[in-house]
Amino acid sequence: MPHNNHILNKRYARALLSLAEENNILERSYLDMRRVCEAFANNKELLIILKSPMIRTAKKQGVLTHLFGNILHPLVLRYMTIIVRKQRGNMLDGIASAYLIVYKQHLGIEEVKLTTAIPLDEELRTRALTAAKKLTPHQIEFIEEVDPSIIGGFILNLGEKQYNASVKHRLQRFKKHLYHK
Amino acid sequence: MAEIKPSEISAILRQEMAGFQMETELEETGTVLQVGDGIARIYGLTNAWSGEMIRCNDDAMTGVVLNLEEDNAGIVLLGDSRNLKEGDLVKRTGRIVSVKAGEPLLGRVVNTLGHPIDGKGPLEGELFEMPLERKAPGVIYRQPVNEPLQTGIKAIDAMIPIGRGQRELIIGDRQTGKTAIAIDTIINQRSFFEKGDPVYCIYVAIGQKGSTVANIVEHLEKHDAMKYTVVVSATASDPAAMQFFAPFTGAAIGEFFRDTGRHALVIFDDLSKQAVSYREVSLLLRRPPGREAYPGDIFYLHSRLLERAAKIISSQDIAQQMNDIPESIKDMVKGGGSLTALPIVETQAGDVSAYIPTNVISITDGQIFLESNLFNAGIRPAINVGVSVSRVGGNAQMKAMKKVAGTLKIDQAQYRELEAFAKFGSDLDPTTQAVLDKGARNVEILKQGQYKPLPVEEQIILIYCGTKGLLMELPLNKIQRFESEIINHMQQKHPDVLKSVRFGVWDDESVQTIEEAVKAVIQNILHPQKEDEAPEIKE
Repeated sequence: MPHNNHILNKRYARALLSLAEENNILERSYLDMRRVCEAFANNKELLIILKSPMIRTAKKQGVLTHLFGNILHPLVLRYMTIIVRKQRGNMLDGIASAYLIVYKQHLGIEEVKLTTAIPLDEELRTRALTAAKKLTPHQIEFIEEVDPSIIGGFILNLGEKQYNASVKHRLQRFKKHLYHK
Repeated sequence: MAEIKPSEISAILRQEMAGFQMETELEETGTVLQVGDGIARIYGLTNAWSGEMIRCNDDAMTGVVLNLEEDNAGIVLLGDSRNLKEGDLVKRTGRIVSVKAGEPLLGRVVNTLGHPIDGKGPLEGELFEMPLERKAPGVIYRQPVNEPLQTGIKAIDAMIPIGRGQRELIIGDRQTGKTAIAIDTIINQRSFFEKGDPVYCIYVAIGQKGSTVANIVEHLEKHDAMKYTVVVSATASDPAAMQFFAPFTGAAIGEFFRDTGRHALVIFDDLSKQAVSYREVSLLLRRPPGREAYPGDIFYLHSRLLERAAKIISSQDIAQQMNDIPESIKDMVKGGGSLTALPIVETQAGDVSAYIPTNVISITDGQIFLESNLFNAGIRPAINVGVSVSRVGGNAQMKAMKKVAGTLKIDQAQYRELEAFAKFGSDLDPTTQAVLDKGARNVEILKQGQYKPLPVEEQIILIYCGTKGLLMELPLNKIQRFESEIINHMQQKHPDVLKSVRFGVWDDESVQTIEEAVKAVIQNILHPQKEDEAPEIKE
């Protein structure tokens, strides 16, 4: 879980967003930030380095430049080094994930997550996509997740709404129904 | 035992399953950002209401929304917060936090959520959903207090009478008998229950030891008082949120009886501990602290709780239009019910000017002030009559009691003034001596053992003896003996007089009978006659 001072995270994220908009690199910045998020998720050491007060700021900046120098847009990289310089490096992971949310909010993209017990095949995917598009007037980002523990059926998350049609949930409800008759 | 056919089982199962709805509905969810100390911060839940119940961990735990902030909601968890993790999904229920109340609760010990915790199995019978937070009845649905609530304690019923629908604070240091007064009051309602005019009692234990609660329940059971009593227990080991919601549970259960036209008595033991748990939750939710670090709305917390104690208007038509009636009891509403509240507040070293005591004193309709030096001097109940008052109970007091006890409070005030003076042991004039003698006898009469509430007619007779000065020739150490003997005498020889006094008759004839009886009993104590004692020895 990213750093949880979410008010602060969002404030920093919004700064990058408006800067990216000015420079017309909105989409690029989004993709970059997603990469940063992935990097944080896959490498715990990176965050440990950024959080450690023992390591000098210049070293931290060096690590970032080395890692992301060739991948990220120069503006995004500069933004990250500024944050490290201002002693907020420990929040970078939170800012990166907040950026994804802020970006989607800005463009009115809604996240639709479909959880199934087995991977979707092509036909089901197109059917699910068309159905999901009907649920909201906004643009959607479709995320698939496979979770065998739900046994069967599906769970659809649309923003903060959830439509739980999994077999697991039904069995739980049935159990409750029998217990509290 | 008859054999069960498998086919029957499946038929029954099918029948059970018939009512089960397979449809899934759209649920609103949120994600846990942060959890700890019984508090969780949730991202999402944009449409949640303040006070709404939230389901966590697939219904394993309930949370209540308390803080609605710009981008997150602060909820308190009514359960073990170790079961909830960051990133978990929580769901809205669309229901304000509530308990199921009804007659099946009587005789049971329940927790803040109304779930039985006494190991006697699930609640059987019809229950009605009552919200914990509910607006108190408005002005037009109320009526002045006009019926007495008999506590069975002489000092209270005579000098600080409590009416049904009143809020009377019991305040004092630790170990001064605050809970004892409350428990005796519950026990005294037994005769009303047996007569078919019950006052249902709800005892809310907040932040007490589990053993203390068990002890109280045991005593109530021993005195056959659990039949009409509900115990709501939030012990010291329960989460702070459970503790500060517990009085609201008690009030909600009491309101069920009140709004269905019956009488109920709720005891909050004690509100100072509740204030402490509310402070804990508030500080964890980062609400700004005020005086003594209590949050700004601590006064509102207590005032809205105690305001729910009320005497409902007897007119059925008006009562039915009462504000904020829960849907579940909409067609059961009856006028004339009442909810009496006896909040308890513990003071530190007799300091009534601390924050919480002053707040609650100003909210309630009077207070019973208990003092440890009186308690240690053997005056029990240790009520300080001088500072204890009942602002509305006087209207509800029985006529006979009013007549008899009218001068008692002033007599005692005079006595206390002179008592300090007389300690110097100088010669006193006969009038002063008379006041002192009478006062000392009254103090003796007002003493009462624990678990020994007296019916009102017996109280009236004893108080009459004191205020009329009938016991002047009796030495102080014989007063206790006189009390039991006069009551015995009246029960055996004049049960009709006792009965008529109980119904409020106080005429010259009964007064004369009582005075004669008193004389006879005093005579018997001072100069015991052989014939009288003989049969007793034989037995």
